[in-house]
Amino acid sequence: MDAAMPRQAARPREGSSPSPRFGGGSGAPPRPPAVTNARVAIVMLIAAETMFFTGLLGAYVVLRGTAVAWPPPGQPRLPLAVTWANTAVLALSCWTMTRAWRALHRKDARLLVVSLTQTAVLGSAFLAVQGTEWVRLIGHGLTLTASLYGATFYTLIGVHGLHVAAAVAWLVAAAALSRGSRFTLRRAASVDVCAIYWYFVCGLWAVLFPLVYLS
Amino acid sequence: MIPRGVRGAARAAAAAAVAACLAAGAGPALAQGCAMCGTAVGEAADPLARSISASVLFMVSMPFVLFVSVAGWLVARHRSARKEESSR
Repeated sequence: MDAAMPRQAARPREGSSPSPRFGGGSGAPPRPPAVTNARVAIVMLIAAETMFFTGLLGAYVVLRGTAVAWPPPGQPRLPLAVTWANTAVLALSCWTMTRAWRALHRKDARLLVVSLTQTAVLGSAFLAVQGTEWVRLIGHGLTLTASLYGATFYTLIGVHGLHVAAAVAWLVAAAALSRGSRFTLRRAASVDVCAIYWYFVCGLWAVLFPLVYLS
Repeated sequence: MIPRGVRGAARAAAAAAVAACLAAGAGPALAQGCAMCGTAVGEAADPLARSISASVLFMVSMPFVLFVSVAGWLVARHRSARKEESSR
């Protein structure tokens, strides 16, 4: 490749300043990009996930709108009090995630690890409560094949639960990566995109909870 | 002789005009929606028709919402980065 390049272009004459048109620069440090690659990637993932949930919600709207009774006779109502408490747990996890993000920008490694761990614990608590809720609902006869009511409920809430589980695993990995006193760009990016994904998962619940439980 | 760029622009404008005429003429056909939905749904007061309309509107609007949100975010990030650079 070097042989193919003209020698004059590769090595500027002494005394002459290199032209910025042909690269090389003036020795100034490269400016950071306005949007990092990691952020573009997570935004693309979130856009794809949003369209996936849009499809599920579109089907839910049609099935719900055409049902004579919702929930159908003989099917249990969804537990509201426990789910309100679970929503509060998820909202609290958003606050701990914000604290982790601030710690990241202040380069406070200890607070970052603590906040990420707290967020992961709160996310796990959300999943555990939802799991016990599901066991009770199945005991009352609300199964995936019992009715469209059960099928849509388990599909929507189950897929969201899977996303929360994936986000919790990511949080644990980000907390493990953040251990240690030194901050690297790669570590910061992993926490940054993890936080964005966590906010997405919490925001999704803010749409699903009123639509599935409250309406 | 007409420059190449002007010729290309004229061709694009002509194609856009033809497409606009075709779209205007096909208005009644487009308003029917898809044949399957038109057959299955029936009247507008039908709960199925209302549900399908709401669902279709929701699903159609989401790509636009996403596009505007992401584009707005990118523009805002680039503007703030440029402002930071000029203030240095």
